[in-house]
Parts: sequence; structure tokens; C-alpha cells
Amino acid sequence: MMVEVGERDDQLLEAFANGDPDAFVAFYRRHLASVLAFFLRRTGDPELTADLTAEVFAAALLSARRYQPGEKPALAWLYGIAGHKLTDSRRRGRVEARARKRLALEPLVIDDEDIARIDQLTARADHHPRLETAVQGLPRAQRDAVLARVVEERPYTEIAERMACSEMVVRQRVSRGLKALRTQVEESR
Amino acid sequence: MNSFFDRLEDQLHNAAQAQTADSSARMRLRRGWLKTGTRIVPMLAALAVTVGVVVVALTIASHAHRVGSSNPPTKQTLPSGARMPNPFTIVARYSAASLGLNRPANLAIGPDGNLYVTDAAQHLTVISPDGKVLRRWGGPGQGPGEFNFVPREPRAPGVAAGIAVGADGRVYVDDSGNARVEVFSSTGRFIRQFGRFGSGRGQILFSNYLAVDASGNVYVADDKGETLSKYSPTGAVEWTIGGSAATDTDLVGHFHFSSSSIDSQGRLVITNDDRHRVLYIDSSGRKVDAFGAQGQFMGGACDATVNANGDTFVGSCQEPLLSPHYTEVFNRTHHLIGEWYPSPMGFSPRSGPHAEVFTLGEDGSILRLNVALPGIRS
Repeated sequence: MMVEVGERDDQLLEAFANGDPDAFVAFYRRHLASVLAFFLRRTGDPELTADLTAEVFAAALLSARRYQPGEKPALAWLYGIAGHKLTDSRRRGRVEARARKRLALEPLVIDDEDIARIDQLTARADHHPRLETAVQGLPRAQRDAVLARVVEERPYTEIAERMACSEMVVRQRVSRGLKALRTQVEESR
Repeated sequence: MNSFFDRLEDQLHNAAQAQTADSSARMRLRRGWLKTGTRIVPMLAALAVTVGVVVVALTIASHAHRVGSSNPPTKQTLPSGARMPNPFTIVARYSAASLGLNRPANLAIGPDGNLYVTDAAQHLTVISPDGKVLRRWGGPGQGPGEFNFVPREPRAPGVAAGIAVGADGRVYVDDSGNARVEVFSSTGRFIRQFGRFGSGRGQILFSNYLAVDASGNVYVADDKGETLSKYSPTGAVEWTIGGSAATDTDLVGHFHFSSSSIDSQGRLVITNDDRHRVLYIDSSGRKVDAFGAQGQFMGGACDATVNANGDTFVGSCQEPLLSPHYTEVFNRTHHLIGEWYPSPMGFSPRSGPHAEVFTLGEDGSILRLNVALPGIRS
């Protein structure tokens, strides 16, 4: 099955769950830069960033079939995995390779060119670091609503169905979330 | 030479191919199971009808006035992608805000059936089973009766504040930031404390999990020291297992359990998330049973509770506020008999004295659950 360029994240994950490995690779390509940026901002260490990123995508691959679009946007789900890996690595003082071991992935070595590539990729994804931090800081319901509406461009009716609430409530959450984001970004200038 | 990320992409592609091939094989197996189920269900239905006819006939024949009642059929769903039926149904939900709770951290059920909840506001709140706040005590500090619950992990949203209630109603609180366990009466009167910061005998680096058995012995996991210790009812250390001296690999790693982790045989049921194992520890500190292997528990094994039937509920390692939670149910012979994914539970379900089941939701609400499993129904 060919993966459409404009296919949504949940469609990619569903396609992967239905037996299309290319769909997961498309998902990886789409979000590699933002996951790298997520880790680089929090660790400041490119090698650690690469290690964590590899583990996150391996973990995402392992659990992708269990992702259910109704629960939260795929990007929030991916950031959830990233957040867990980050806290886990801080707690243990090292990056675990559990997911990669489960998939029997060989350890990869990072060199200077890769570090330059991380800078390049994250610079592209890093246009709005404050915005991403602010999104992560939103109350969960608002964050999920904003990501579903703004990032995934879902219709309000569909989001309302997913979040088991009325369309009016979703609109309020998106509106309040965006307002909070504007305020936070402006205050941090 | 390809970059790190090109090579990672290649690896992921190969792994994805292998996964999809594996998935196809499992789907075939599942279809086989469903077909078997399809054959079994009509047989069971026919058997039930036969039994029903016999019962009715006997009832009529004996002119009995009492008509036998039967439980309504258990509703079980098989969500798409799930391997097993979901035995859980939420029957009541009390939001954290309605109870005046700030990021609830842990929950225990007392012998009186009341719920004891710790939260990030450094309080312990007692809540009736129908969701009414009965008492609240604590407050931030280091003094007797005060708490300093600290984050479970750096920058994690939840705090470590284990709680357990003894058979005598005494309440034990893991005061993580003060490296001690505080003991209260059921009305909130401070009784005593034990433990202090350190890595020696009777000392705690970072306690995160707490349980108390029927005799008042207290089990404390030190998440930094990676040990499990048993304290007598007076607070004396009886034994410590795990840590750097452990030779059994099952006992090397981080242990997790809760107030509802002591089974009907008096064994403490814990998980070692580093080893992907569920361990059964007897009262003398010996590992008497274990199961699990890498990859067996979806999302890892970071919480274990048991019910009166001997079933074990294993919760995943996802930070409740960050990613979907898995809850898996294993029977006493360690076979998977149910699962819930994505589960709204932040922790594994806790069973009360009257088979009632509660847990904390991933959004901090308190959830009352109906659990329909073979041999038990809450």
C-alpha cells in the first residue's frame, strides 16, 4: 500500500497496523525533527538526543498497533512516549534500550556529521520552541483539543465524538487553549 | 556512509516489516481462537438452555415459591486491536476537583471501605465509597503529621506518596521527601514514624511504594536503593532484599506495588520493571513464585495489585498523565485473562473489603469499577 503524502498521523499508524511498514517510516520521517528538537531542548546533548530519539521511535513502533485514534492525537501520543523515555533516562542516569532490544536493533554510533544534522533538523523544527513548551503545559483536555484541531485539522464534530463531549465544549477548549498559548508566548518574549 | 538517521530509518523499516509479518501470524491465531469461541458459544448456550429447562421443570414439579435468580450476563467487549476481553466497567467517577484534591498521588481502601487518598497538596483525604469527603489532614512540612511528597521522577507530574491502611484501621503514609513512613489512627491522629534518610539498615533513600499486611507488618520499596524492606509493626527492620548485593536477577531493579498487593496467602506481589517480572514474596522475604519475560507486559510492568480470587492486575509504566495506560489481568496460574487498553486507569485497581474496586484515573479522578472475571464479580 502506498502512503499518501497528506495522510494523517492516525491514518499512517492504522496503515502500519494493517500491514504497511512504509507507513511507519513515513510517520518517523514526519516527526523525526520535532522529536529531536524536543530532546535537544531538554537535554542540550546531541548524542543523548539521538539515543533517546531512536528509543522513542522503536517504542512507538512496538506500541503503534495499540494506538487508538479516539483517545488522543498521534502527536500527543508520541510526545507521551518521549516524555516517559526522558523521565526514565533521568531516573536511571542512562538511556535504556529496551524497545530497541525487543526489536533486535543494532546499536548505532553517532559522528560529527550526525551532530551537525541534528542541529540542521532541529533548527528547522525549532521555529517555535516556546510554543511547543506552552502546548505541553496546557491542561490535558485543552492540549488534546488544540492538537486535534490545529495540528491534525480534525473537524469539531469528530473531535467531540472522540472526546465524548459536545462540539461546543471542544470549541471552548480549543479557543481557551489557543488563548492561553498566545498569552504564554507573548509573556515569554 | 549513511547518517545515523538514515540507518535508524532502515532499522525501523526492517523492524516494521518483521512486526507486520508477526502481526499477520497473530491475527491468524486470533481468528482461530475466535472461531473456536464461535463453536463454543452455541454449545454453552445450548447447555444453558437445557439447564434452564430442567430447573423450570423441577420448579414447577415441586410447586416451589422461590424462583432461582441468576446474575445478568456479563458484558465483555473486545476492542479492536485488543488481545483479550476488557473485564472493567466504570460505574462511578468522582473528579479530583469535586473532592478538593490536587493531583491525587495514591489511593488505598481501608477496612471500613473508605478511600484514603494522598495528593500533591501534601494532604491525606478520607472519602466515603459514594464520593463524600469525610476527613482531611496533613499539610506541608517535616514535623509529625506533616508531609513532603516529592515528584516520583524529575519533572514528572505525579508525586511519590504511597499509602496503605492496616486491618486495624491504622493509616501508613510514605512521606517520600522526608524519607520516613508516618503512622496515623483512622481519624488522623499522628501515632509514630519510622525510617530516616540514608542507605543503611532502616534507612530510606527514596521510598515510593508501601503496603501493610494483616499483622501490621509494613513493606517499603526504596526506589533509589532498589530494595524492598519489611518492617515489624513497631518499625523494626525484619529483612531487606534486592539492592546491589542481590544475586537473584529477579531482585535486581526497581520494585513496584501498592496497598492492594498482598494476596490471600499473605504474599506481597510486586513487579520488577527492569526485569519485566511479577514476583511473589512470602512473609520471610523469599521469592516463592514469579512470572513474566521481556515483551510480555504491554508498556512494561510498573504496578501490581491482586484481588481475593488470586488474580493479578499489572499496570504499565507509562506516566499516567503523559501516555495511554495498559492494564492486564492474569489469573492465579499467570494466564492473561483480560486487558484494558488504552485504560483510563492511572494505577492498577485496588480491591476493598467487600470486593469493591477503586482506582485513580489518569486524569486524577477516582474511579469505581465493576470487574467481571471468572469466579469474582465486584
